[in-house]
Formats: sequence, C-alpha cells, structure tokens
Amino acid sequence: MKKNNWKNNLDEMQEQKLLHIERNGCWLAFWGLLITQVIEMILFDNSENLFYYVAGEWILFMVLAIYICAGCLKNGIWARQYSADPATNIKASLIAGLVYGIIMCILSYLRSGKLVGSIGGGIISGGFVFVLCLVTLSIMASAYKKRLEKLEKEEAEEEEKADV
Amino acid sequence: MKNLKLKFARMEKDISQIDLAKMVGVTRQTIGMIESGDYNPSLNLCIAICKALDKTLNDLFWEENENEKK
Repeated sequence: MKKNNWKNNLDEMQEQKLLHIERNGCWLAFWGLLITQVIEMILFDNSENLFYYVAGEWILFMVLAIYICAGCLKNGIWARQYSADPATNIKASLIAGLVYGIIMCILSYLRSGKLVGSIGGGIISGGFVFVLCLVTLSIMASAYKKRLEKLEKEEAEEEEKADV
Repeated sequence: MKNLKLKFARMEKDISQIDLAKMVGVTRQTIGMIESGDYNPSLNLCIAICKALDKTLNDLFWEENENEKK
C-alpha cells in the first residue's frame, strides 16, 4: 500500500501543541536574530566587512518580520495585548528609539571615547528611529483598520446572502 | 477541571482510553488529557466521543453551574 506522505499524522491536540512549539520557535528565531545582529554590530564595529557579517541575519530577520506583518494584516490581526491606537504606537516607538539610541551611544563611545558626542549621536539616531517607527506603525495601523473593516463587511454580506 | 462524566461513561462501556482513542481517531494521550481537564476538545471530537460512547453532548460535556441548578 502506498504511503501518503502528506497525510497529517497528528490529532487535534498534538496539532495544537505543535503549533505552540512552532510559535515559540518563531519568536525565539525572531528575537535571537535581532540580538545576534546587535552583538555582531558591537563585536565587528570597526570592521570594514560589518555589512557582510550582518547581511545574512538581517535578510532572514526582515523576511520573518515582513511575513508576520503581511500575514497579520491580511487576516485583520493587530496584536494580542495591544490596540492599534496612537498612544500605543507612540509608546512602542519610544521604546524602540530609546533602545536604539542607547546602543548607538555605547557603540559611539567605544569607538571615539567622547561621552558628550556619543550621547548627542545616541539622541539623534534614537530620535530618528522613533520617528521612523511611529510613521511605520501609523501606516500599518491605518492599513489594519481598513482591512478589518473590509473583512467585517465581507462577512456581513456573506451572511446576508446566506439568509436570502 | 476533570471530566469525570467522560471517564465514567467510558468505564461503563468497559472501554480503555486506547480503544476510545482508536474509535475516534486520536491518540490515547488526547483522551487522557480530556479526562484530566488539561485539553478542551473541538466540537467535532466531542461529537465523535459521544457517538462512540452512545451519549449526548449534554451527558458528557455540559456543566451545570450554581445558578442553573436553582
């Protein structure tokens, strides 16, 4: 008898467990890649080949990030705990800007040894990341709301058709 | 919360967890977890279990709360 290679051997409980494991694996890879890039940036800061050291991880990280964002957007999902409002977007952008600013400040200080200049550089680069994140999140939030509205409308129309 | 109704219904019929699992097409582990209350089965699986044990959904999966008792 020919074995069907595509047959799912898992029952629904095992399927849920596997999805849970895969979800954890996905976020482990996501944050692991981000941390790896930061460490590489610190370790190979003076190297001319920094871009080549980080390129592989960066491409993988971006593919993963875009896939998650596109998948969520397509299905009208924003986040479990957070809502798509300006206040939350500002908070998230502030955190991103602050973390990036601190990292850049440390890198700059290790490179030049000038504290004031490093703090200034950190503030500027952190501020730039804050603005960039805020703009991206605002665009994404707007796209998410439109998509959710569309999906809700589609479902309501389908239900009306079924009733007729 | 343990599903003792399911466990008793299975024992009434003298069916082991392995046999019930085979009848409804899942693993023994899944039946064990349903009975111990560690897993909430889908409606389809609930129906399959009910059919296998000749019970209704109410018999095995409905829990009356205090208000309903009054």
